Amino acid sequence: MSTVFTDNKTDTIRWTGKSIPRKEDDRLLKGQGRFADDIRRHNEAHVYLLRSPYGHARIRSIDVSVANEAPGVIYILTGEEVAVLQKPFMEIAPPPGGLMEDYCLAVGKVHFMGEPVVAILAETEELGRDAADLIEIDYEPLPAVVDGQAALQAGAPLVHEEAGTNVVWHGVYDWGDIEGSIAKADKVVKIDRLHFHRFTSTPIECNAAVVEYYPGSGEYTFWCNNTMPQFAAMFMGPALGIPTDRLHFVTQDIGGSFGNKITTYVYLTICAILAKKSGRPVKWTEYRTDHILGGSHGNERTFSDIVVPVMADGTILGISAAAIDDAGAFPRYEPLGSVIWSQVVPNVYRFRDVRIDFTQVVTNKCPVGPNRGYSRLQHMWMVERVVDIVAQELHLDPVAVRKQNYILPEQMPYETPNGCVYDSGDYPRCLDMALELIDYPKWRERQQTARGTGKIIGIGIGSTLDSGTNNFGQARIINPQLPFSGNGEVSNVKLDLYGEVVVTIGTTPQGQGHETTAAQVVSDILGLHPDQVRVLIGHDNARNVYTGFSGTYASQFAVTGLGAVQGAAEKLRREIVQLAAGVLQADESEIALRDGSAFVQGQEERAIPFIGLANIVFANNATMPPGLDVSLNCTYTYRPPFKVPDVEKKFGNLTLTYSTQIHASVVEVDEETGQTTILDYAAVDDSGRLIHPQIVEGQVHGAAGLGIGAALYEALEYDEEGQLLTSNFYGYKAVTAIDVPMMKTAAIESPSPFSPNGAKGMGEGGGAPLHAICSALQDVMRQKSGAIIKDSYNPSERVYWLLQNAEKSRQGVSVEESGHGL
Amino acid sequence: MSNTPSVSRSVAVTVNGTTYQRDVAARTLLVHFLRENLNLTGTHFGCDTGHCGSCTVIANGKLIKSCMMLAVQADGAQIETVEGLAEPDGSLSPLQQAFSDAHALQCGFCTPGLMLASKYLLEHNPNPTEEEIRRGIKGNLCRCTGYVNIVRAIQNIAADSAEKGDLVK
Amino acid sequence: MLLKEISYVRPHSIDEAVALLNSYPEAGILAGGQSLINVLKMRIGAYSTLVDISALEELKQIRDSAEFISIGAATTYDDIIHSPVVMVSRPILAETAFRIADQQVRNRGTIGGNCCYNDPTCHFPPLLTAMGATMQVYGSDGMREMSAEEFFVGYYQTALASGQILAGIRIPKPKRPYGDAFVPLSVGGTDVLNAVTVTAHVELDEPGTLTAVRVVATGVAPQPLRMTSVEDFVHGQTGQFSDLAGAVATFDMSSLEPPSDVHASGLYRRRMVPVLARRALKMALEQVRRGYRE
Ligand SMILES: Cc1cc2nc3c(=O)[nH]c(=O)nc-3n(C[C@H](O)[C@H](O)[C@H](O)COP(=O)(O)OP(=O)(O)OC[C@H]3O[C@@H](n4cnc5c(N)ncnc54)[C@H](O)[C@@H]3O)c2cc1C
Ligand code: FES
Ligand code: FES
Repeated sequence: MSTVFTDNKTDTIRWTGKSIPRKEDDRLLKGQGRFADDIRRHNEAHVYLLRSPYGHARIRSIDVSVANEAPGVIYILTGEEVAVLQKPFMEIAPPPGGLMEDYCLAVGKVHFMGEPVVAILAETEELGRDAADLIEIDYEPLPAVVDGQAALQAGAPLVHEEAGTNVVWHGVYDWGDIEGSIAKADKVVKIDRLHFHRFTSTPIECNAAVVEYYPGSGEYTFWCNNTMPQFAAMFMGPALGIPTDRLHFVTQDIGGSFGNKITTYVYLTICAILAKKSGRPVKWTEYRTDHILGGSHGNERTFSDIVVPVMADGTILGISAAAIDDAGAFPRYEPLGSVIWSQVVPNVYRFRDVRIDFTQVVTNKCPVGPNRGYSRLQHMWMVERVVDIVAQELHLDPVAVRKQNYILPEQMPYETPNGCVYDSGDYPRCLDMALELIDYPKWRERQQTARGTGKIIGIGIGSTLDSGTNNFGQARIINPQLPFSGNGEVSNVKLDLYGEVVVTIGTTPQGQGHETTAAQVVSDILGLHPDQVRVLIGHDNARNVYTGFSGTYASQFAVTGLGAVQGAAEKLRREIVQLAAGVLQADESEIALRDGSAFVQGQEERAIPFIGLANIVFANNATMPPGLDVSLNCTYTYRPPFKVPDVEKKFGNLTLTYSTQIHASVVEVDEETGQTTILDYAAVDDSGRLIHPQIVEGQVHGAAGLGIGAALYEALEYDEEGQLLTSNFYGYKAVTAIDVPMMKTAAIESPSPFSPNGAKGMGEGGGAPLHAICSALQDVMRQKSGAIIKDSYNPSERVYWLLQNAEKSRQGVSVEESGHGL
Repeated sequence: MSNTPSVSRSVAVTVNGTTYQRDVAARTLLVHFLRENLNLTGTHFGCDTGHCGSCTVIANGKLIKSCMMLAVQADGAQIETVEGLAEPDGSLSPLQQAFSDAHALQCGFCTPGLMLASKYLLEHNPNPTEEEIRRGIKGNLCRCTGYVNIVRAIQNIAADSAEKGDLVK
Repeated sequence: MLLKEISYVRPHSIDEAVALLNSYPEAGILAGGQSLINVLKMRIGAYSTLVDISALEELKQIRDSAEFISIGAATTYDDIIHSPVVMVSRPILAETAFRIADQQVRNRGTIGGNCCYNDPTCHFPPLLTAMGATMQVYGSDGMREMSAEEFFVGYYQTALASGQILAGIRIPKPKRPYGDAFVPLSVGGTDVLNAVTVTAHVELDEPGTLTAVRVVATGVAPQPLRMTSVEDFVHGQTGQFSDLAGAVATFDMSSLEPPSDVHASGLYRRRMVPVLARRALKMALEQVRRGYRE
């Protein structure tokens, strides 16, 4: 496929690559956005969910008799009825994970605090909650398991007895020759444990849905903010025993997702059952506490027995580690995270010998789901921690160690040990730019002058990749039976009756500006101003085209979405040119497009506007030039060039593009309190060709903001009984404007040779702030106690204790001379 | 006014210049009143503890969170919501334009609240420092932008106002 | 967000408010609502009737007299912040109010509500204790006064009896050089949630010695805790006093049994008390030495 950048068929201005005003802004700024909770249907009823107060308990009985008589109550649904009406949701995992039974309401027992137990349908939300207060549930509390490692212990409470284990999935990834590396290394650095904490992006708009059932057609309509509707359909159709074409999803404006709105099919199923039962449109509104308790969390991961063979000059040869990923109570999107991390096995580094023993477990905590940087950021965080710890323990400069080990631009495209192909990039240059932005030498000096003042300055780096456009074939590494591979998005670009240009895509944007960037691409191809292109809002499988992969997730729109838009627009362009050539009696090569007209180049009076072309095809087709077959309604599916990975070797190209994000941070720690303040922050990114630089920069800011929050303030913490202690914004301290610094950004553009437009997926970021802040804190510790930063979450108190007592954190960290083997 | 407690009342609330007379339950929060009774869905909600600021409106000249006030308390109040921000001809106000120009909104969910917070800030402090801006919008969480471009949008319009006269009122 | 059914009433006077409180068994005061509405959202409060005092002008006055500033209980933080009287006579009140939550909360939250809610993270209970404020309690039997220390009795507990309201707070205006410092340790970001605070007040008398010393810690005990040994140590020293560590060392930290919760461990809170106490004293002493407070 040609790229828009080499397209010389139009003489109009090029829109692609410019930061044009966003098409979405006008309505959003006026309060005219249509978010899921803004939808109202005549005669709608409201769903209130009574949730489990326990982390783990058997349900002895549920008494709804009093509630049934309460004012306004229409229907009360419990797990007992659900078990009859619903088949357990499909599981992606083979056994044992595949044996875990997941229903939309708790059946028999509750598995996590916040799990929906009873759904009350009432005339108003308030009456629903009033009735919920009258429901008596007799619980028998059970011991809970809230830690990934504990879940594997013999005798640990089982979250799902039916599976006979808490293990969802286990596999050993082994590439290269880690033993060989260890034998030939000068030094072997060992780290007993690193812990990546549980947090969530928790978008400001919670989940919501209005669901209507049409008995005549057996169809359900879901006005909702699910961000991967056809994935939801794959779960819901079989669960409800209906074909997926009966599930009609409509998304419009979505108030952020960051992956968190992918697994809402569980809630949509409750609504579907109630809509059918009651014959009423039903509305479900989730509030923040519900969302934090029972929405979707980010994966918590514990790495243990980390062994790193290193040469004396700091060259890292490989990493061996065990990873235990805590998926919470139900797998749902999991265990995909158990393979998705392997898109970035060596992160940005050249080491080639890697062994990761990966286990994913269930615990009595909220189920996880994709969360910005999904599954890769945990792994890359571990690699970045390893780099900093190696540097500290071998008395090397962390900047130098990074440069020493970075994959070099001349090695691009670079095949990683597991067959992923890094498309392009220049990591050393990005690092240099980041260091320049913060004025690295200045801070190194200040670090010296700060000594003895009670404030300690630390400088840190986070090097990451944002792998985009998944090859879903990687799911087969988890479960060879899965009929998934490749990826794809589809778009339709058409002329409407009066020549209007209308674009639909299968995606579910949540702020990424798809309407704008799609219009840019179409404008360039059809010779229009973006104002002349209408991109319909959101996903709607009764109106728009879509594929099974449609949605907005996993950093792929610039490639898959815009690839599809480009293909469809080019198809339409060909049809327009053919038709115009026939009408204007010119050669196709003479036809040019500008401002909604086709004309003969050099003789602009020989022209026909789009409205004229549309008229011929749609209302006047007896005048169609003979022999032409055009519809002016063009659909194109973009499919990235993927192969099915080698499941045995766990080898293959798992993602198409790799954006780079290198962050540098400067922090100041108050020695007496552990309070950490960010003094300077820089983010350099390389997202290939930029379609809309301002939108890309906005994504960089946003990912950095969430990462800073997660590094210092935001954590989902459970007690031993499985009580979530941070279930609202009092406990879950979402970062405010005061604590995100005015970060400095810069970008380079290394076009992807593999994508249709040179762009790379981006938007998730690689969690770089977590890495960069941990790295800066390590730099602080290096000057003081020598403590090791072993956790991704470092609130003041943790920093304080690390300064006070390095011993505990240093236990289990050692440097050994070579040749010891594993 | 009747001085016996009651579970519902008749209220007259003026929103963006239009006075609405409605019966409302005492337990109804102002945010729900605006959204459900008046169908003014530009005012959002994003939490249940008064932290996120998505529900921010200006009531009797004061910036408030409409989820932290009962609708009955707004009886007689003058309320300004996002729906009242645009120019009378429907074009964007300079503040709205500044948000768009700086790409200060992504998903746009927090945006109504943030614009009202910015408006209030600039009305009280036309030339705020970065620190004052950040303090001024501290009660409004945004999960998309890292706040960077929001702060810039406010800085830009403050600078523009200094040059061209007050653009915010 | 979905409150229980409640009744609402808006009295026209403080007397009517008290009368209403006493006529309806589950009646409670609604002031700024910035805590109470959240309690109602969680359906954990006991009130079924709300007596809304937020619009009662007589409770919203800030009055200046020779000896005191009097602040009506329903005065909002924002009004305190913008009060010229406060700015001239006791600016710490404004500085502290400014650190509470955000502009929206400050536009509605009231000083009286802050005191009556008396959450351990609230800003005013320790400050008023350190300032030696007097709480004016109004009930069917008229006005009664008590010291802040008498008023704040435990976590979320005050000395208010049922049917009484807090009408106002009287804050003394020192007649000699003084210093006021409020030093919070916020967790979760800047001015997000005070895990521990220490407030210090000192005055310098005519002969040049420190007097009226008050040092108050929160987050470590059920009520704002006076660190009396520190106060005693500092009392009578000269204005040049600088042995802050020595002063703070007199306090037996091991006697504290601070709570451990998701925000901070008890041990960390205990460790922070001396740090913040030193800082608060230092700031207050600097002001005293300057002879004015800015
Ligand atoms: C997001 C957020 C963050 C916050 N952060 C902080 C913070 O960091 N520090 C802080 O100090 N506060 C904080 N607050 C709470 C805020 O300060 C409240 O305003 C305060 O706790 C209560 O004051 P109010 O006027 O809103 O009282 P209300 O919420 O109306 O009432 C609180 C309680 O006091 C009683 N009451 C109120 N006034 C009287 C009276 N005059 N006589 C008798 N009883 C009365 C009520 O009956 C109720 O029980 C925060 C609030 C929010 C929403
Ligand atoms: S909904 Fe009002 S502050 Fe969050
Ligand atoms: S723009 Fe999405 S939350 Fe602010």
